[in-house]
Order: sequence, then structure tokens, then C-alpha cells
Amino acid sequence: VVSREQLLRPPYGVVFYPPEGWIDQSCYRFVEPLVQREFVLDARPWKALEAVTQLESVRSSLAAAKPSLITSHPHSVFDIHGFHINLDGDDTRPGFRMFTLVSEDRVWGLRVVGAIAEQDLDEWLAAFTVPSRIDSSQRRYWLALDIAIEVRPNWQPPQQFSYGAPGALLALQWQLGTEFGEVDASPLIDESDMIGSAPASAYIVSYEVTKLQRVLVPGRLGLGAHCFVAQALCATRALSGEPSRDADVTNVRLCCVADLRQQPDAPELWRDVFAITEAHGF
Amino acid sequence: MGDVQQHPPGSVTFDTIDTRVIPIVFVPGVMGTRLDITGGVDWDPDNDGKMVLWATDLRLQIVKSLTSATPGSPIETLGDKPKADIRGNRELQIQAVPELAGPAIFPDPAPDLGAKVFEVYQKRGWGQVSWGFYGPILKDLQLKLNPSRKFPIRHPVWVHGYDWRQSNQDSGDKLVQKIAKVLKEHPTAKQVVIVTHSMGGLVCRSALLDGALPNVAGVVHTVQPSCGTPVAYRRFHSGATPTSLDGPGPDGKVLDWVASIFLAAIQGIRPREYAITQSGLRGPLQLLPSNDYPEMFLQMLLDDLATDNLEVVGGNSSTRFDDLYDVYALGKSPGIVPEPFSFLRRVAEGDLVTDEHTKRLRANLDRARKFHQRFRDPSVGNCHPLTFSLFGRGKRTDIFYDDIPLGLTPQARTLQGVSGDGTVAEASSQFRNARPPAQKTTAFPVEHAACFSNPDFNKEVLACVNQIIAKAKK
Repeated sequence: VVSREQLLRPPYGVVFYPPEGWIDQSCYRFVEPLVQREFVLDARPWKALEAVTQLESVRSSLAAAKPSLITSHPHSVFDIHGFHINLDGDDTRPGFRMFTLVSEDRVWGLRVVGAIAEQDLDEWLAAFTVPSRIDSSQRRYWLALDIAIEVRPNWQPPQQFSYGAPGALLALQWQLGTEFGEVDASPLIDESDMIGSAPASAYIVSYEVTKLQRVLVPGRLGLGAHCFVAQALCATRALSGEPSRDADVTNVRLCCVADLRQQPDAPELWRDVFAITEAHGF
Repeated sequence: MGDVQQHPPGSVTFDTIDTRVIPIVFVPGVMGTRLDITGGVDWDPDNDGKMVLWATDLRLQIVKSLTSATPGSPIETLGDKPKADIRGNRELQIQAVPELAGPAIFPDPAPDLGAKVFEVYQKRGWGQVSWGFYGPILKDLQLKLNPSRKFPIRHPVWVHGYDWRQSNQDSGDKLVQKIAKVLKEHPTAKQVVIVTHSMGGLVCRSALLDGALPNVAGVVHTVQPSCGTPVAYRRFHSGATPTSLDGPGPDGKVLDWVASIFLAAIQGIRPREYAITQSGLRGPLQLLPSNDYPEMFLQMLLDDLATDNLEVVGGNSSTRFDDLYDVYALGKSPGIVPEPFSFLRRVAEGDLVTDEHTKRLRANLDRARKFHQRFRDPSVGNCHPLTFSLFGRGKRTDIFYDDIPLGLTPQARTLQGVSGDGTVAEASSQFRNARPPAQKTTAFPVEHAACFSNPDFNKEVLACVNQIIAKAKK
């Protein structure tokens, strides 16, 4: 019997389970360089019943680009509708396709740049399913926004993710295959400088790095020799002239630079990272 | 890359040391720099696929990606289009790598030399900008200012790509650094010549105020919205209107239409969508007509009195207003800051405007006011002493917005004329308020974004650059 975790573990990248209360706001971009194709999966805040109407609204906003009519596509899990646009005037190989994947209570948007022949389309869409429908097989899946996507060879996985909780945003970014002889906090310092140098008038409430909380050294989390986690807290600051108010921690940006090639304990690893974040601000 | 180079093989002229190197720095306009945006799709006007992804994204994701607080930086790598152009142009290759000049010795350039060619242009920032917009002028500047097979290259062309979402003052600060970097790369060079397109003119003028002046021999501004332009105001009332006011017009090609549609979908075709999309765009908000806009572009009711922008900034309006940015900051027309609806109405209408958007928009309008205020200080110049200004004329352009009549659509309130380039009105792009006055201002029948597709326009840019170089050498 193959466990759900085993099925959902891709050969690279990580499977990431956000902590309770955090909503995955990531824009999942997958690149297939060999076939010059890129697709984006996102969650659409639409009701299932109005998905086609909303899709039609997107389609009609691009009317001058001569989009096709919306058609439905057979699928074992989702109710799928979509349209396409020929970016280069080639009628036989649409350069852009947009779909809505609809379940009973959720709607996802799926957009593809790059050609998929019409006869291959249904097979391509069959790679999208939900974890509960995965049966025992040799296939591997990427879990994104509660959708399981069958991993194909030579994909470039997404490298940036963001998670929202009320009043807070957590952004994760990682680089694959980077190895460090020693802890290098420069990505965080660059980021901190960028935020810290913003003039106070940047916003009514501007973000300011109050302190570099700490850099957790490799090994501390059991992340392995090439991993470290750095953390900074950003607090709100009232503009001069406004009534002063207590600084609240509203934004934490957690920068991770690590070799994240899949390790057997990857899911637990990332839960640990979040536990630390929560302890320091939430 | 220094100025002292090895003699290349083949019959070329080569000066071992040349003290007359004057690099060119090109500064693109708004949206002209390709951007890698954290958590979003790359901004790459050369890539239709990327742009259609933008156009079909969720509005709030677009707003997030187009907010200056979201980290982003120019894409450095050369795209497919510049690579193809460079591959197909032997002279461009040789100017980057003189060793390629000797065909008898290198009939088939070694692959590493080909990579070196790309490396040189990438280092100069050529990958940072949209090649569709700027390829023609970059090639013209590089090839026509530098005689064939004469080394070292006296006028290497560099590009200052920048994050156009940020304030033009911040981008100007980075330009100051870029110029210093370019001069360091060419140790015998004392100054650079700057060529700007559109909003790049504001970036450049800000840099001149912030320390770049001694390092700049002269500036050629092209289609610069020196004090903003009315279309930037009107779209807050109409939204982007790709099939009418903002469309490419009856002579537009199919691809122009497609690009126009994608851009409008990104910006927002409904006024409130447009406003929240603009709210975090510090640089583009500095394209609203400033207090220096020299002609009447806005007629309006303020404090129940009919007035116009010239009366307001001149202090003659009998209203409490004497600054256009205070007008813009109003929650109702003629203001451009949409007020959030009640929660129930927001849900019912699917409206997205929140307090956060309105606060951000007002803060960035204030930033725009301060940005342009710096150019009004009579004790200092507001441009380089040796400035040339090229602008567009003859294209359907917003010149006036009448906010007074009741019951009219924003389209019906808008007056378009041909005194502009389709985007920037002549009143602004002529740069009439240049202090000291521009050396020369010249009109061309060019469209704003496509001005460098006109060979005569590019020829004039080169002529202006040559005049600056000639003066600098004296």
C-alpha cells in the first residue's frame, strides 16, 4: 500500500503543509522547458455555480484578441470549461488556454502558455486530480492548492510561495541546488535593507524591519548541511503626525535559502520551520 | 571591460588608449523594463504568453504584483529576441568581441566567443528592456555611433533598466549609481550621454538633481511626459478603454489591438479596478499632470464653483484648492481616489476597493506631488544644461477632460486632439518649462511606444547625441 505522503512527494522541491489558519495564496507556476510550456494554477474566489459566467467575463475582456468560445472538457474529477487564444495567428496550435476546474465547492483557474494539441488536451487535463482520488500507482504528484498534479519529467517546479493569515503574509522563496560552505544571510540582509530603506512616508503604515531576529544555524533544525533559515520581524509604524500607536507585528517574511532536494522527512521539516515562525510573532 | 584592449586579428584600426570614450546610457520608459516580480509572473512585454497570463490573472494578484512594496528587479538575461538579433548581426558581435573581426582566422567563431558576445551585451543591461520597444534604437546607437571595426568602441551603449513601479526618484538614485558604474567600467571616460524614453526622462532629471549632473555631458529626451499627461488622469474615470479612447485607432494592426487589449485588461477596464491597480504604482502615478502642466486639461466643479486646473495652480480659482494633488486626492470626482463601499455592497457587487487601497493611493499621490515639486525650485535647473527634446505630434491624444456636465460618460467628457503622440500631449512632451531651455525641440509624427520604429526619429536622436559628443570633446 502506498501512503498518501509517498504519492504526493515529488522528486524535487517540497511538499508543504501550511499551519492551521494560514491560507495558501501561492501562484503555482510550473515550467516544462522541453516543450516550451508553462502553466499556472491558482484558486479563484468564485462560487462553483458562477464559474462559467466568471470565465466568460474574463473571455469577453479579451474579445479583441479573438478568443474561442468556451467549451467543456470531460474529466473524471472536475467540471472543466475553457477557452483559448491564438497568440501568433496559428489556428491549429493555440498559444494560450484558460480553464476553470470546478469541484462541488471550489473553483481553480488553470492557464497554459504554449501549445497543446487538441487531441492531447484531455490526456493533459487528466493529470489534475484530488488526493482522495489517487490510487496506488507508480506515479508521483505535486500538491498545490489541494489539487494533486501528476509530476512529469523535466519540470521546473515553482520556487515562490505565499501564505496568508489575518493581517499577515508569509512569503517563502527558495533556490534549488545552491550549496553553502557556511551560513550566508545575504538574501535576508538585502531584503531587510530594501524594506528598511523605504521612506516613512511610503505608506500610511510603512513596514520597517525592527530587528534581525536571528539566524538559525545549519543543523539547529536538523535541516542538513546546506540549509539555514533566517527570520526577520517587520512591525507597523505610524506616520509622523498621526496618533502614535503600538507597533504590531503584522508581517513576517521568512527567507529560506537551502538545498531542498527532496529528503525523506521533508514534510516534517517544513512544519518545524513554521513552528518557529509562529512562536515569534503569532 | 576597460578601454585598453588587445589588437584584434584582421584589418581593423585599433587605438591602444583612447581618452575620448563617451558611453551612452539609455533609460527606458514606464513598463519598458522586464521585471522579475516576487510571487508573480514576470513582466515581459516581449513575451505574449507572459502578458496574457497577466491579463487573465485575478485583480488582487495583479494589484499585489503591481505594488511597489512587492519585491522585484530587472531581468538581466537576454531574451530570445535580442539574442536572435545579435546572432544575425555580425557587426554587433564584433563590436562586443573584437576577436571576431578576423574571418580568415576565425571562419567559424568558437562557441565561447559567441557566449562572450551575449555576456557583453547582458552586462551592459540590454537584456533588461523590452526588445520590441527598444531594440531598434539600441542597435542604431551602438552601430551608428561607433565606426565599423574601429577599436576601442568609443560609445558603448548601456541600458539603465529599473523597477518602474517604484518612485522615479528611487529609480533616479539607481541611475546615479549606474552612471558611476559605467564610468568605472570605462576608466578613460569622464562623462556619459543619456538618451531617455517617456518616463525615463523623469528618472534622468531626478538623477541630475541627485548628483549625476557632473557625470553627464548632455541628455536627449524622447516623448517625455515632463509634467505628466491628461490620459493618466482620465483613465481613473473611464478605466482603460482599449476599444475606444485607448485603442490603437483605425489604422492599428491586429497585434497592436491584441497588445492594447492585454494591457487594458492588466490595468483594469473599470475605473475602480484601474484605481486600485494604480494605487501602489509610485512611478506611474507621477505621470498625472503636475502643477506645472502648462495648458488647461481639466474643467471641474470644486466647492460648487466651476474652475480649471490652471486657475487652481495659479491660485485664482476662488476655491480652497491651490494644488492639483489635493484635487486628485478627493474621494469624489474630480478626485480620483475611490471610496470603499459598505461591506454588503462590496460583497453584492464584487467590488475590491478597500481602505488599504485608498490610503496607499493618497500616500503615493503625495509622493508624486513631492517628486514634481523638486522640479519647481527656481533656484536650480530642472534639466541638464545641454538638453534635446524630441516629441510626437499628429496622433489622437487626450488633451482635455470636462468633469462638469451631468450625465455624460467619461468617454464623452474627453476631448482628444492630434497635438500629441497618442499618449503624451505636446503641452508636456515639448518640455516648455525646461530650465535652462532645451537646446532644441523637434516634433515627429510618431506614436508614443513605437517612436523608435521610425527611422527618421532615430536619425534625429543620433544627430542630437552627436552634437552632445562634439561639445563634450571640445
